[in-house]
Amino acid sequence: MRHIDFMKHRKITLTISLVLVLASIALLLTRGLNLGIDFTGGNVIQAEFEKRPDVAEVREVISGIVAKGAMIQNFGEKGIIIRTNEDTEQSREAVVKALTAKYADMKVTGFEKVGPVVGGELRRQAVIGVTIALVAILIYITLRFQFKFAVVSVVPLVHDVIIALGFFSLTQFEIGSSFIAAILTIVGYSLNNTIIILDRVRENWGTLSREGIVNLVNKSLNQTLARTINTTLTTLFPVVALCVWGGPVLMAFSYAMLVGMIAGTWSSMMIATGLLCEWNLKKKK
Amino acid sequence: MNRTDRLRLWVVLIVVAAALCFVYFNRDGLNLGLDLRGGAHIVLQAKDTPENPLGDDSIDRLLAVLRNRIDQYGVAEPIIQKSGTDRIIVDLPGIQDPAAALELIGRTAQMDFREVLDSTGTPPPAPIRSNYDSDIQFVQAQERWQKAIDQLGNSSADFQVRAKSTAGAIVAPAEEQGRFYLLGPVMLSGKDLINAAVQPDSLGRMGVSLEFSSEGARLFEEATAKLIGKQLAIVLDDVVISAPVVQDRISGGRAQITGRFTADEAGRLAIMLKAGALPVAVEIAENRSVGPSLGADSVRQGLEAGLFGAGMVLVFMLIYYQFRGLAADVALAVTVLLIFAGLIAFNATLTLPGIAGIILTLGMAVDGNVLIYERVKEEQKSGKTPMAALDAGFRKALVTILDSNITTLIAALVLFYFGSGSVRGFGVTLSVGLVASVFANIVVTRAILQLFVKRGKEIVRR
Repeated sequence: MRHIDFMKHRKITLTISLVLVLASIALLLTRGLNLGIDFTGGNVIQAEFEKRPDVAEVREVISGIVAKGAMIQNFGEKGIIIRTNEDTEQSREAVVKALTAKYADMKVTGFEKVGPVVGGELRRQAVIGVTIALVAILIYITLRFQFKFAVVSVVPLVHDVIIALGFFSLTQFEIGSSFIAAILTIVGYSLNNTIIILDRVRENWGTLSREGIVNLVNKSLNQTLARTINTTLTTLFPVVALCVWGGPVLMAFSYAMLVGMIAGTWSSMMIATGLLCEWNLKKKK
Repeated sequence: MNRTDRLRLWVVLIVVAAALCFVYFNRDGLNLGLDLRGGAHIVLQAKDTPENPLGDDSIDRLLAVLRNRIDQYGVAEPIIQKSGTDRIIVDLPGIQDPAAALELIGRTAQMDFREVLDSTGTPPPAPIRSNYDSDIQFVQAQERWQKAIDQLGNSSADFQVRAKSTAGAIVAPAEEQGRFYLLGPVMLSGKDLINAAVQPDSLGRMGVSLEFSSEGARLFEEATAKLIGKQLAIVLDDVVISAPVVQDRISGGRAQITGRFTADEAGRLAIMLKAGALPVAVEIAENRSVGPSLGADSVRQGLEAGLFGAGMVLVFMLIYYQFRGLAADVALAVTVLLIFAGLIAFNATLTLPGIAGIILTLGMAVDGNVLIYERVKEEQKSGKTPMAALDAGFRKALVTILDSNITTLIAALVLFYFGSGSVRGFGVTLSVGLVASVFANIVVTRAILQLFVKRGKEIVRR
C-alpha cells in the first residue's frame, strides 16, 4: 500500500494556512467586502439593449440623478446592471426614466430594491445562522466523537470561511444572500471531509499507544486517500461546470463554492489532522 | 438471498415506483421560484402610525385586503403570506408591470357605503353537459347562457352612461362574477366605522354587527332613513362586497347585516369591513422583479451546467469503478428522482440557488458510494469472500456516511430555519438531497450490488 507521510511537514502546512488566514483577514480589514444590496439596501436595475452602450456613457447619463457612487457593469451579452445605494422606489424610477429617454432600445429585464431594515436584518441573520450551525456541529461531534475532535474539526471550518471571504475581498465579487448559502455549504462539505478522516482516526485509536499519534494519523489519511481524491473530483465536476456554464447570476455563488471546496479539502487533510497531532504531542510533554 | 436482502430489494422497487408515479402525476406541482419564471416579489412592512397603531390583528386585516385586491388584479397563483409580526410577502409570478401591481396593493383600503340605484340580475349558472340528453341540446343551452351573460354586460354598459349623468355615481362589479351595480354617491365612508364583528342574530343566522363613530352614526341614520326597503351597498376598493336591504331606520350607531352567510363568509366580511375601517400604513421593504427572459436564461444555464456536471460524475464513476460504478449511477438517478418527489411533496419552491444545490448534491451523493466501495476493497484485501466483504464494507461505511451527512444536514436545516427567500429554498433542496442520497447509498446501491453478487459476478474485484 502506498504510504505518504502527510504529517512530516505539518508545521509547514499549518504555517501556510495561518499565513493565508492572516492575509485574508488583512484583506477584509483593508479592502473590505463588496456587499450587495441584500445586505446594504439599495437598488439594482438590470437592462438589456439592442446595441449596448458604453458603461462610461451610462454613468454619464445617470450621474446627475443618483448622488452616491453607482456601480455599473456589463451583464451577459446585451445587458448592463446598475447598482446604487439609494434605497427608494423614486430613485429607481428616476434612473429608469433618464435611461429610457436616452436609449430607446432599452428594456428593463429585472430590478431589485431592498430597504435599509431588511439589509441589516440579513446581516444579523447571516451571523446568527453561521454561529448556530457551528455550535450545533460542535455539540454533535462532541457527542459522537470527543471534544478534542470537535475542536480540531471546527478550526478548519473557520479557516475555510475566512479564506473564502478573503477570496471575495480580493476579487471584489459581489456578496448577495446566496453567498450565505454558499458559505454554509462549504462548512457542510469541509466538515464532511474532516469527519470521514477523523472517523478513521477514531477507528484506529486503539493502536495509539503502539504507533504514536503521527503514524496513526498518517495511516488514517492514507486509508482514506482514495476516497478523498475521488469525492473531491466528483464534487468538483459539477462546481466547475457551474463556474463555467452557470451564467452570471450564479457566478459569485459558484466561485465561492469552488474556493471553499479547495480550501475545505486542504484543511481536512492537513489542518484538522496537523492540529490533532500537535495537541496530542503537547499534552504528553 | 436471505430475507433481509429480499425485503431491501422490494423496498427499493416500491419506493422508486411510488416516486415515479408521484412525480408523474404531480409533474405540474413543482413550484418554480420567481427568479426562474419571472415575476415580482414584494415585501410590505406595516408601519405603526399614531392614527393607525399596529394591533394584534392589523396584519390579518391587511392580509385580507391584499388578497382581495390581488384577486381582482387577476394574477395566477399569487403567494400572499405573513412574515414575522409586521410584514407581508407578496409573490406575483409572471407580472410584467410591477409598478402597476405595486400601485394597486400599496393603496390604503377604501371602504364606503352607497345607495344601490340599479343592479344587473343574478347571472345564471353555466350549463353542465351531464344535465342534457344530447350534444345539440347542450350547445343550445350554452348559447342561451352566453346570450344572458352578454345581456348583463349590455346593461352594465348602460349603467356607465347613466352613471355619467348622475353626480358622484359609479358602476361597480360585485364580488361574484358577472353582476354589476349602479351606485349613488358616497353616504358614509369607512373611517366612520369603528368595529365589525361576527354575531349571529336571535334566530341563529350568521350576521355581522357594525359599530359607528358618533359622526358615522348620524350619517348612517340618515342613510337608512332614506333607503328603507332598498339596498345599501358596502363597497371595498370599488367592489361591492355586500348589498343588504335596509329593514328599518337605524339610530344609535349600531347595525347588523344578516343574510345567508356561512360562519366563514361572515368572518371574512367582518375582516374586510374592519380592514376598510382601519387601513394600515405600509412601506415597501423589498421589491424585486425578474423579467421572464432573464429567468429563462438562468434556468437554461443552470440546467446545462447541471447536466454537464452530472454527466462527468456518471462517466467518472463508470470508468473508475466499472460494474459498481453502474450501481452508483443508478443510485444517483434514484437520488435525483427522490429529490424532485421530495420537493413536490414538501411543496417547496425551486430557486436558482436551489438548482445549484441539486447539482452540488449530485457530486456529494456519490461520496457515499465511494466510501462504501473503498471500504469493500479494503475488506476484500484482508481475504474476505465478495459477499462477506460487501457486508462488512457496508456495515463499516454506514457509520461514516451517517455521521458525515448528519453534520451537513445540521447546516442545511439552519439555512432552512434562518434563511429567507431563495436561501431557504436552497436549504430545503440540500436537506432533501442529503436524505435522498443517504437512502440511495445504503439501500439502493446495496440492493443492486447484492443482485450482481448473487449472479456470481466478481464485481467487487478490482
